Amino acid sequence: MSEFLSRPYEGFARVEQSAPRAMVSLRGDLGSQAMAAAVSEVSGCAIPEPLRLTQAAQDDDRGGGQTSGQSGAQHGGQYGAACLWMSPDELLLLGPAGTGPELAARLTEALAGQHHLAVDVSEARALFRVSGPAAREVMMKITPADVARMGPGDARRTRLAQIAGALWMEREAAIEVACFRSVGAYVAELLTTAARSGGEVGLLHPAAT
Amino acid sequence: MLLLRCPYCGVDADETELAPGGEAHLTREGPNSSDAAFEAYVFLRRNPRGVHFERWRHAYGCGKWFHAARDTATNQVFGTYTAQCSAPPQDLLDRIADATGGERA
Repeated sequence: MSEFLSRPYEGFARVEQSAPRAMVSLRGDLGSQAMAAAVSEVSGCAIPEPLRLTQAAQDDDRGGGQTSGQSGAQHGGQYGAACLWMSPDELLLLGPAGTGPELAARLTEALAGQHHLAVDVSEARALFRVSGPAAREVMMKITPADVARMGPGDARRTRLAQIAGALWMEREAAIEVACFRSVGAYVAELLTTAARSGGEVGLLHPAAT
Repeated sequence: MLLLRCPYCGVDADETELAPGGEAHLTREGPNSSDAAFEAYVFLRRNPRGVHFERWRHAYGCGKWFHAARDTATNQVFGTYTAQCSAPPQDLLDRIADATGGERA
């Protein structure tokens, strides 16, 4: 994965390039039982509602007696598997780095005979994370999406200044941003410029100003 | 600025998230059509001052094509509907008639 930000940028929000994750684009009939079964089997996630995402229970919760019962959203550490709604017939599955080809192959196998497409796009995308109480204000500057009303579990594709991108929230006060890798450097500059100290909007989080 | 609700994902999409697709509900003239009919299909558009049915694509969002009814003079949006139809739905036509006092769409 290409490096666009060598270290986290600290403005009025924190901007960092996220650790690599496997990304698999999956298209097909999201309402079908075969799709729900395949996604659940491969990623542990349910099919998300439109503009939402679902997360799998963390691996360390499995078989261990469900001690905590927490999902990945509550853990402070690793981000777990997630399933993002992209369009009425498209999902984006996120998994551990390096498992993209395996995930895509397992989906293709599980959906044999169904009209579908599962492609590993891990290397085609760059991932960023904007975090902190004023993270939404950074995004408000560069996208027409209604980020003020976004919360954990929300996902949407939109426009980031001049390019296409996706936003989602797996936990409170951290917005995940995905874009094509070819425009990763542009997005890194865009996010760090929008997050520069002194550029606070003060609309959602007056304390930050 | 135009906000159109995408009928597929439910997002109130900003104009800058959309790609315009021109007049809706055109009938494609096939290989056996007359030259005049084919020319009209390719080139001739209504361009009304008032209610206009048009195609839009949620290009930066879900990527789906849909239809919208908009007033070209005021930018009033009467509604959006899916692409899986060859004419505007009757309830939308009724709403437009109510809103415009019966002006022919």
